[in-house]
Amino acid sequence: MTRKVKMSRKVKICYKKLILRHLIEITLLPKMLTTDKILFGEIKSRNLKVYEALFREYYPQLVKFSENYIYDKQECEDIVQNLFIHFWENAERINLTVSIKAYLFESVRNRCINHLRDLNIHDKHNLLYLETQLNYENYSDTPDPEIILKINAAISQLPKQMSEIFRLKYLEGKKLKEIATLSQVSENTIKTQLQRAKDKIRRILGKDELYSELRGPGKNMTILATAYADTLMNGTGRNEPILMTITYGIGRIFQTVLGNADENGGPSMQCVGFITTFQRGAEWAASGAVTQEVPFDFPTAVTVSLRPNFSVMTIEDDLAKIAQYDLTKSTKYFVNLQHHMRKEAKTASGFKKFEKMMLVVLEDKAATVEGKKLLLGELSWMGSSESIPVIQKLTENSELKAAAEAALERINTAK
Amino acid sequence: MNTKTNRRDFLRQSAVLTATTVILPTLIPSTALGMGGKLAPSDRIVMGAIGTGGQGTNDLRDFLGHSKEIQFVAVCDVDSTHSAKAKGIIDLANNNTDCRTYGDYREFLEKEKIDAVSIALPDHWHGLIYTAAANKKLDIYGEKPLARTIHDSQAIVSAVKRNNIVWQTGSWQRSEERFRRAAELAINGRVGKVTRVEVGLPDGIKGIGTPPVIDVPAGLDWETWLGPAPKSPYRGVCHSDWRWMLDYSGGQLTDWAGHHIDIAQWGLGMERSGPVEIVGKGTYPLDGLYNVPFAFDFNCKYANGVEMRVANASALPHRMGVVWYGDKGWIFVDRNRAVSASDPKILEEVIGENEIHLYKSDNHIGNFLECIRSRAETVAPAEIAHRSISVGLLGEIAMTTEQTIKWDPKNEVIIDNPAASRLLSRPYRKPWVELTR
Repeated sequence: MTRKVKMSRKVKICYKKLILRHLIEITLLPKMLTTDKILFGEIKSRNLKVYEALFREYYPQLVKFSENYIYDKQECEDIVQNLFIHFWENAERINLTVSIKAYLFESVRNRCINHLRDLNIHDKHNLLYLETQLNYENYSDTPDPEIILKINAAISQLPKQMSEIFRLKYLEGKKLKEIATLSQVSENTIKTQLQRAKDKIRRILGKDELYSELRGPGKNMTILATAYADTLMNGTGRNEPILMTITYGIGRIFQTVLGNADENGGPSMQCVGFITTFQRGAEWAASGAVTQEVPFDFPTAVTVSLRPNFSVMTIEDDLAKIAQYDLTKSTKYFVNLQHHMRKEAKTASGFKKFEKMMLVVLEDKAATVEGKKLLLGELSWMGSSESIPVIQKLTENSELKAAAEAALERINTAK
Repeated sequence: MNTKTNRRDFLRQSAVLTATTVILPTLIPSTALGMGGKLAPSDRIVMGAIGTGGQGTNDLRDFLGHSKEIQFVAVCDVDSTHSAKAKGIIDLANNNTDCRTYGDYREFLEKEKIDAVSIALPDHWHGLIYTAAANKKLDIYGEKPLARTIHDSQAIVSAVKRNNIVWQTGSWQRSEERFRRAAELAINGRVGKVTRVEVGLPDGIKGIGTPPVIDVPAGLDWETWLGPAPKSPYRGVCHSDWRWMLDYSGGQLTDWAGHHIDIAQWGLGMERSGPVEIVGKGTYPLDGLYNVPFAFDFNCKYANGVEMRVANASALPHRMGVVWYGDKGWIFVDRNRAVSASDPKILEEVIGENEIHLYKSDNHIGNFLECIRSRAETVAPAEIAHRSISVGLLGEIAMTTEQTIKWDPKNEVIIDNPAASRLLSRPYRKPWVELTR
């Protein structure tokens, strides 16, 4: 079952910065400490208690870590368990040069990547790899500065006490007990305040949703983009695949989880990011190539880019626009209306309904002369006897007389 | 009127003379017919031109290539820069300054005593002016397509018949060896029984948005240019660009119906009939002044089961041109590419004496002038032009309604569809009055 989680907007990652940080981390990889040497010595001498202690400490963390790569918890647990078996059985042959913690995490990562490779999943831009670096606390404890900026802005809008508690908990990482001492309130109050703060921040940051824990075998898949499901917004704390391609025999599938129409006509489908990736993905699926350029208004890490006019126009919408039409305006709504009409024309009842809707505009005193002229042209051929009295009335209007008379003449010539 | 009839009678008699008396050329030196091989001025066909824009000027120059037989004396155009330019060309050819110019075709037809007229106008004007010239008993060289609507087209055919005039449509492909040869091979079953034809016409253009309203340029009578079409402000889109607006034309489809659909029906033996069922879809510009379909694809069924697909070039494997598919192969013809066939031997086939021989003309203007003298039917008479554009216009109706149009080619009515039937005509703007058959 796909779980729907309300999320903060995932901010684009600065890859250069990340790669740089990754390189620094490799050179500064935690050196083997004395405690590591002692612990590893115990493992080699088959000390089951030390082994169990290590297992208990790292198992949950490692499973969660691997879930950043593989969206199948069972598989993640298998990978970590196999690693521990390997660690126990082959301890003699393992040449440990880094800390045990670093060894375990690096090994899990490698095993995950191997597993993905076996499933024929390509991490095209090393997104999983890089974002894990960024988002997993053991490897990167600094969230993206853009996220912090946004959250800070949201926090500043909270009531004073609430914002203080929130700051202590999420930005300074204090425990509930510490916060209770510092702010002189009970732990329960802190919990309630934090819950309310989260709700408020969610509203302030905007309603956004992210589909997480996608189901399926997920084979033969190339992940093109991911989004971090922030725990702050009740997310999974993982990088969820957002755009991917899947091959199926000679077929090509492009999948996007973006584009869910908001209940209140919100802007998710107006997002240039959605429009562009959808169009490019569709072109690739159809032709195997992408020729469309990324438009100038594509959103960046800090900008939201919407095309508010990008919505499906109904017949009513088109008619409303035509009622305001003058010669300086675009004719696209009229073209749209004709398109609707051709569809409706396939049934007699659709045709009638369409005619009635046009007549409402003709009778509307506020509708423009030019708009009415366009509709008269259409009614002149598709209008029935029902149109005649309405059009007859328009002949009294000096500006519409010629067009109305021409329409009547044509309606009456039907053989 | 009397002088005209006399001149026509004289022309007819002289044609009979040349046809029956083979030895005449040796007995009467050509100089006797006029200076330098020309007919004596009194025997030349006196002509005028209505519409002297792009195509009108092309036609004028083609006619002047036959200056031994004709003489232009007057031109008419709603744009005085056009008529002045045409007068310049004619005066140069006549070596005088006598060519008269008009802005109103009614005055032109009333005052000028001419034998024939060459007419090249936007489609929405064809109905009125072709019938008016026919009613003046002038022989007409008229540009294709025959008319903007089937209704207008029918009125033109009956005016031509009623007045017993000679009519040549500007469908000049009919006077080209390659098209005649291809159609003749198809109609004589050289690809077996033809079951299907593909007609590829040029791709349309997607539009220019809506340019602002501007002042009408000096010399152009915009009101008369619009004529029977709906009143519309001037946006700098007029000469040659009218092709892309439904008020004046049906776009590439109706422009080229008079060429490739015309040839296709010739090869099918359907040139005086038409399809019984038409269905198709057009793709229209999303915004702006231009509103003719830039892509179109429709299918026509004939009573004998033959099907004809008409589409813009990009939608078809052969792109432009006509392909007749028979049960034994195919044959393809277009303007700029060699005639080809499924088997090259088909192209060498000789048409036997008892087989169908299509009308042979090797010069489109020459054929018209010849027929003016002989009173015989031309290679592209009005009735055939009418049947060619009817296919294009029925396709337009099928695309406008997105319905299957049932057509009765004998009585020329759409069956059981009053709404679609109204699209057989377009309302005329007053004071212009719609034509009657």
